[in-house]
Amino acid sequence: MFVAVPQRSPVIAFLFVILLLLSGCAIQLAPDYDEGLVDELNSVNVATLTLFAELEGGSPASAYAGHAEEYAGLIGRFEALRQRAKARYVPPLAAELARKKVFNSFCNGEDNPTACLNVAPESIGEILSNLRTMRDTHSAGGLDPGAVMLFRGRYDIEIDQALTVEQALKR
Amino acid sequence: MGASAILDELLGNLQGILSDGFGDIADFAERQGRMLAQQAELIAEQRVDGALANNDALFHFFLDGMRRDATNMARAIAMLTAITIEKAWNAIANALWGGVRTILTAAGVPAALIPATPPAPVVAG
Repeated sequence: MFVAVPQRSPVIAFLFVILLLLSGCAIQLAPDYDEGLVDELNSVNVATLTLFAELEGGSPASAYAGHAEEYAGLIGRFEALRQRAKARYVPPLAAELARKKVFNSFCNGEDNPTACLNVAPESIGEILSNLRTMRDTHSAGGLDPGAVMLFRGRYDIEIDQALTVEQALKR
Repeated sequence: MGASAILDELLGNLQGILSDGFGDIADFAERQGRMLAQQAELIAEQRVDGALANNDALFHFFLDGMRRDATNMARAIAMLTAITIEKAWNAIANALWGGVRTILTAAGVPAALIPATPPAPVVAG
């Protein structure tokens, strides 16, 4: 396409050159904000905190059956969130950077090569490991209040990571 | 609009973005650091006389878990930093782009020929 550049001054031509140079300047280093993911993360967080509140005084193994469905529901919802976060589009510039050797050892998650630019799958993965171990401990020998505090302590760290990075993507 | 006006706008945008971005990162790091320290203290207490006193497997689960949580905290800080850098870079690009656009439009270049925002770069796959 032919574009007529006004011949008023060489400055205008110079500005046109700058404009062309700037055409590659906007960058994206992290995935887009996913409102659906954040809403579901908030919703499943409420449900998980409810389970912790039910168990905070401790719970014998005999009471596990009454919570089995709750555990399964939470694990299923977090698994779905992890899949959704892991499958999303990571911008090519960010993916290219993450492949550089300098970031490789630190940023390579278990099955997530861009763990420094898409942290939620890693943090949700730890939430899942925590909930599964809590469920197994509960069913095998029950949970005493100290054990519930330990599982809750880990959960608080992990959900804070996931919620903080997902909210930060709103830009 | 001249160079000083473009620079003022650029610095104004940048100052807000960097101050907010790094303030949020510092808050996050402090919050996570405090929670990790409390968890370490709780693990030690429960190992001495509590849920972990006679349960080696669970003790190691929480120790390994703390290491993985600390790694993910560092990854989250890297991600928040990348987002701040992205915002700062784009603020600079937008301020320069906006300034050049204003001058060109004033000089008679049809606005339709100049996109409102700088397009994203193309990265070879």
